Amino acid sequence: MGVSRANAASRAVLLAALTVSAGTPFVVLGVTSAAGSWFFPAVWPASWTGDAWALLAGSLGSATWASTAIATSTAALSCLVGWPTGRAIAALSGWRRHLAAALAFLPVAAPAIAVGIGAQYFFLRVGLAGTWAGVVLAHAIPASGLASLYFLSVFLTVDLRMEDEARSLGAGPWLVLARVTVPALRRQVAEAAALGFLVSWSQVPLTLLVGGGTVRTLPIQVFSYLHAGEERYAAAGALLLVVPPMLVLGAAVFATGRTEVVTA
Amino acid sequence: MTASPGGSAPALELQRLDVPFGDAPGLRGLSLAVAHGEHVVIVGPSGSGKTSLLRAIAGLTSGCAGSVWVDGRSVTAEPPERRRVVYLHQTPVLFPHLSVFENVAFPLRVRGMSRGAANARVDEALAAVRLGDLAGRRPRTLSGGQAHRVALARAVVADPAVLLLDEPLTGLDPELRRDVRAGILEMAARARAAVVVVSHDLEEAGLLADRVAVLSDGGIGQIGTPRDVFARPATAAIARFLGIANWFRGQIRDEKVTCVFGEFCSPADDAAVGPVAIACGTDALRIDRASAVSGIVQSRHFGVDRATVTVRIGSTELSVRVDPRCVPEAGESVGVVADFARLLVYPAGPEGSDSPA
Repeated sequence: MGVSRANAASRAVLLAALTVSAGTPFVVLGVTSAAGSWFFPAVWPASWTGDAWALLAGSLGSATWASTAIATSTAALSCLVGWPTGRAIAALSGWRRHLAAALAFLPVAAPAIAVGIGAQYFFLRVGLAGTWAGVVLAHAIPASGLASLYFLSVFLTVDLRMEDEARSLGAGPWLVLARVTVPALRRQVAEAAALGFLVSWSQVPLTLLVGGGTVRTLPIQVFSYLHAGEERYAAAGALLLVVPPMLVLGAAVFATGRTEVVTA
Repeated sequence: MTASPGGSAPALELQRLDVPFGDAPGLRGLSLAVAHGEHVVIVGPSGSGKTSLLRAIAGLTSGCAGSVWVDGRSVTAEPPERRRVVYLHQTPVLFPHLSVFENVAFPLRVRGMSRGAANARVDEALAAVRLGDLAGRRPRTLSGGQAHRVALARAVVADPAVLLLDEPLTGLDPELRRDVRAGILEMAARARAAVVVVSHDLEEAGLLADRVAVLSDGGIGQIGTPRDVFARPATAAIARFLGIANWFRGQIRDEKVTCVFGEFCSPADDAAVGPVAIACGTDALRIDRASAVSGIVQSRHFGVDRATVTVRIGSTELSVRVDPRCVPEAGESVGVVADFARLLVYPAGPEGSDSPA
């Protein structure tokens, strides 16, 4: 009895510590984003203002929109590339599969600056530097690598006999894809898309190198505020940056227990 | 193409079909015709190509040569969806994102049938498998037997000319086997389709088949009614696969075979001379105290509805079926007689072995 009570108490302490350590930065950001004047050594702002959040109708809003559009496009593109790539790698065996998986991992493992410089040289030549399309393509390089590896793990475990069965029941290859495989794997597709979205959402080096300052995503805008000493605006932008990961986390928690396993 | 006795084309005809298995030679020059409504069960040792053959018929395997005809039409170059051949896996593969109703409606909807017309057909099919109450359920909530019946209903709704079933009863408990077997026979009759079943269970093959085909050495080693195939295996290899329990040696001369049990006429029409391998099932031998051929009971084996004893006669051990109410004790000396009409004679194997070549 005594031992279980001690265990419960230590669990409660650990949970509280975790909540404080995870939540404190966001509380500080929230307070900073609304602080009118806040000077050392005051622990609390002397006045409050909503001007940082008013920027949602201005530069902060347009950067959020740019980031959302670019990340959404990247997510879609990474799924379109990652699905067939992962499936093709899964169809290999032995050293061929290991080699192909390593190649798919390369853009993920390579430093973003190296990938960005390479992409920048290439995109300058083809006229994509400084454009949204160029930034999407640049973000899709690591995102597609991750999606390929994710779909590789999916196709190594999923039961694809349902495709054979659907074919023999009269569905052509595209109908099988549209009505059987993708719907049956919709959760996995959503997870891969979320992964691609998040990779793009927080991307800074590739956006800077390929976007060349013309394409102003939310992280770039936050950096710009920081450089300018606008801590309030930077804090508001940083809080906005946290929203998609929180939503994805929430969706993952919600989806837990609702999973349909389609394994072989 | 071969015409069936009624004059119409067979539901399924394979002409000199070659099916590769990876780098191995696979099946070669296989020919088979299956009539409408006929059930053919394909049996064979593991790795003999049973499943590969079904997949080739369904169009799910590449690299095949020869031709496949369905209802008098060559489908060799057709993709699986245009063959009118439905292939069912060993375990039912239902689409997890669709309800039972939507699963059964799938073949109709992909062909563009209107929702109203499709619904009527699906209701009828689900009623036939007694699953109308479960139409709204998801596949993961079904029992094994229910999932089997949904898969069968879906296959029949597709209106196939040929239904291919890959080990449909494997891994099921006895009660579920009876249930699924009845479902197969009922739905097959409803579809009027030719049914080709792959099985490694000979008892099930006997229950399901109009004809049994034994795959052996890359082709069909023997095909016939279950009674013919099981009673008269064409080769020693087939007899071994069918589990013929007893093998002993004999000599053939002037169409007479001499063995430990005496002399009998050779069932084969050849006039070979020399050693032969003789095979028989446990029920071709019986204990008879009056027999001049005697041996010592080595062990006793009891099954659900039968008993056998192993009797050593000289250097040969033979398995003999006995009345379960009257089983000799181990170590007891017993007389054994053979039913000569049920002895199978094959060319002899290597010297000193009871096994055939």
